[in-house]
Amino acid sequence: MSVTAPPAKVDPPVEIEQPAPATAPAGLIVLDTEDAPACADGNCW
Amino acid sequence: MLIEVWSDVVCPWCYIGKRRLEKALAEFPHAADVEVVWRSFQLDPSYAKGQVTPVYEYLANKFGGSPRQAKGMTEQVTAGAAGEGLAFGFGRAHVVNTYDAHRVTHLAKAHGLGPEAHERFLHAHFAEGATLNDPDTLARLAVEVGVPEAEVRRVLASDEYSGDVDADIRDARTLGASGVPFFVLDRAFGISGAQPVETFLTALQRAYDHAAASPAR
Repeated sequence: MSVTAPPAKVDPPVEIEQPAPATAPAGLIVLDTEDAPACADGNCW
Repeated sequence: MLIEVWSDVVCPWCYIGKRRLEKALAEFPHAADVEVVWRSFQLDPSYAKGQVTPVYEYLANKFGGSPRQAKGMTEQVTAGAAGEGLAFGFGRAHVVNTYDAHRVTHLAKAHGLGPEAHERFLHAHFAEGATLNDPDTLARLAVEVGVPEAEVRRVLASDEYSGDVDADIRDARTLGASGVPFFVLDRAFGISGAQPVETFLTALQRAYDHAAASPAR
């Protein structure tokens, strides 16, 4: 009598969602990840 | 590799960011393949063209408080500048409309002296108390970097290079700049603000690798 082992249960691969790189309106890939000091709307302080 | 930097000559973080980019380039092994182009941006384009206001007075008017409190507002920036070897003297700096300074910078650029003029104007504003809307001051500074005086006077007496300044400012908006300094590498990567040297180095390497992997343009 042969015994066939049930197929091993294989979990489906988990898809890890990669965050899309931040892009500016013109399609630039924004490289900096942290806020750096800058002057915006006439305010530098 | 082309690095375009949107910057104003009265923007303290632009000057600090400029130094940090320069430090990164000094460490970047492919710096010889990099061209840096300075593009015009105005922190306050609505500022009246003939007006000259001491920085502390300008800040006190804008944000409220006394000139002494305004001085306190500048301390973080002054410290950041000192960290890059820059001696800012806000006590004698003046807020002006920088449109004409940018037009003269574009004239300097036509002579291959754009970076020299930008650096000279930044230093004059932040360290020497120069008023960068004064035609004689602009002429003196431009001549110091090698621009013929007659050409500076001619440009200041006309609207020459207005189109170039306006185009730069438009481009900044199109590219999504929300503030300055704004660095764009090969029109592919953007970096906003006076980032640490390490961030610039990482960005330079990434842009370089990107260009190397891209088909020849």
